[in-house]
Amino acid sequence: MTPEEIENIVLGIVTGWLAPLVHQQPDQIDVTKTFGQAPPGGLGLTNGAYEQMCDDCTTQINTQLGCHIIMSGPWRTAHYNQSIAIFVSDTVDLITAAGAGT
Amino acid sequence: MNRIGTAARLLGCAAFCLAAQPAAAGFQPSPKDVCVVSTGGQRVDIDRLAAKLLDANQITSWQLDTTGSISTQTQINAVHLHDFCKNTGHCDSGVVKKLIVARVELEQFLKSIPGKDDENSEKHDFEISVKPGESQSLDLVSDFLEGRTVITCTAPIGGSVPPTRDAGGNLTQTPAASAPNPDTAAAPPQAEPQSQSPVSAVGTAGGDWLPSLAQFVVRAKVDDLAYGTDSPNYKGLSSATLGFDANAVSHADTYTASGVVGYQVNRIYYGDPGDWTDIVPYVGYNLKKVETNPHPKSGNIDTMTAGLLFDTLFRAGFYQEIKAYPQFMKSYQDGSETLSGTLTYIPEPAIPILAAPYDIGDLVYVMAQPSFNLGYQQIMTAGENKALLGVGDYTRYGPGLDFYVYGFPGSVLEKFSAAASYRYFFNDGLSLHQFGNLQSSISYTPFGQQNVSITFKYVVGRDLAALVSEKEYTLGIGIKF
Repeated sequence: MTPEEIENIVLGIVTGWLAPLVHQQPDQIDVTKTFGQAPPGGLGLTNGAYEQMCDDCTTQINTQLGCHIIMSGPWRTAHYNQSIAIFVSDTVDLITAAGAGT
Repeated sequence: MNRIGTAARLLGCAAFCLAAQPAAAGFQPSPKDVCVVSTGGQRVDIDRLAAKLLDANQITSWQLDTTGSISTQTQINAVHLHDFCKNTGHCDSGVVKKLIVARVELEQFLKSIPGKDDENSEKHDFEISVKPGESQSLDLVSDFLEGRTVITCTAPIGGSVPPTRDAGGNLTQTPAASAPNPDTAAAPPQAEPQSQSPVSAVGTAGGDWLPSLAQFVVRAKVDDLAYGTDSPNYKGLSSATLGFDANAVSHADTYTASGVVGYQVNRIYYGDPGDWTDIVPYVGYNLKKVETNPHPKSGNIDTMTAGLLFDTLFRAGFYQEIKAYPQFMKSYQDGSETLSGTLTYIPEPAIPILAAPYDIGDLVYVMAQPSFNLGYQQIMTAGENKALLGVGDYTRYGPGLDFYVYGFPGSVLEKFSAAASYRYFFNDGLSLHQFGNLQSSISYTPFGQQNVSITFKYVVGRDLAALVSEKEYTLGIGIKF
């Protein structure tokens, strides 16, 4: 599986998780927005919702890709005020580091 | 002679070879380091490119700002603005020269990127294009850093494997992609035994208990101590103040000082990856001293505070947050000493409206945040503070609700935002066994930016400190440049 295919899957998982919370279609979500910042610059997720997203997306990624990644506490903190795009890209790095997609 | 001739030819060749050698590769970032996924495909992220460029030129945060506390925007400004160091006055010596080199390298890199229709575009990892509706100037660096041009990544960010793109050449986000079909998704890779062990990302925050100068924060209010300089909320925080006012008419000199200094202890992680605790011990000082002849009888303030800001997130079924602010306050003006504090419990389940601003008809976002609040005060010494005796010791508790509305970008309400905060308390103090307080505001930003705003505020109920009845309407224009 190419990194781009992994990226597609991760992007789908993340936007698919966020979509019902913000009441938008997954493909409507602007991936340049940050998680923590209030609109219009970000999605304005609470700390708890963001951590829940990390938990749920980790589980889904590990199930679908058959890998075993952990988004550590410091990693999550570092990405709370980052864009969704960077979060997805860095998650792909975690997955490739775990041996998936090679 | 023959030897001399050979040596001369070698020297000549060496000189020619050096001259004929192409210029040093300069700044050539890898797509993996600077590209991020976006709805239109992979593109170069400005933040990442700026960080990589500074890194490649060995320009550290400490050199750009002697406090070492900089944001990604500061990094972009350092690369972009020729007078960055002159304006900030915080650069380390020698960094100006390095920044000039970095800018030249960035320009060379941008020049080397082919456009979409260029012949050699297929051989390159990047492709540059002008954003629709924008026009390109002669300054490539400004065009890119100000968002007029976009660099598309044509190589995959994860490695050298050719990318798989759709017919349009774009990374698409179809609804199907949001829930990948297990049948069409590639088979899960058979990881090597060692790769089955959890791979944990190591972040930049936490883990280091050594004190750092950047972790000392100075703010106007205790509540603002939780926000670091890299927080999106940082720009909106008010500053600590130190002032002197001389009134030549009334012959009154006024000295003021107000602010808190805190130390942001590195976030403490425990239990599950999502559980953390922030602690910020702080001291504050508030002074207002008016010197007149004769001496004023009232109006002076001279208080010192010391306390702890505590914020913890933990999962018990769903995520829940507790914030607490125990504080000791001593007044040198009236001799009073008090212990006080607040505790706020916020349930943060991942359900619509409570978890994030919820889009209603592409017109507004709405969000609600319920809370349970507790406040207490113990008077250790009342001194000459009669108002303090009037309030007395107390413990208050009750529910609260914060409500936010934001105009949806592009809608007719785009420039509006509103907030309301309601608190209801049961009080076991000297008076008023129950009371409430509502604070609400509507803001309008006419030019679509935060520089100018018109705000209407409405406050009704009891002031939470003095318990006096209040009902206020305020209409104001805020200007900030």
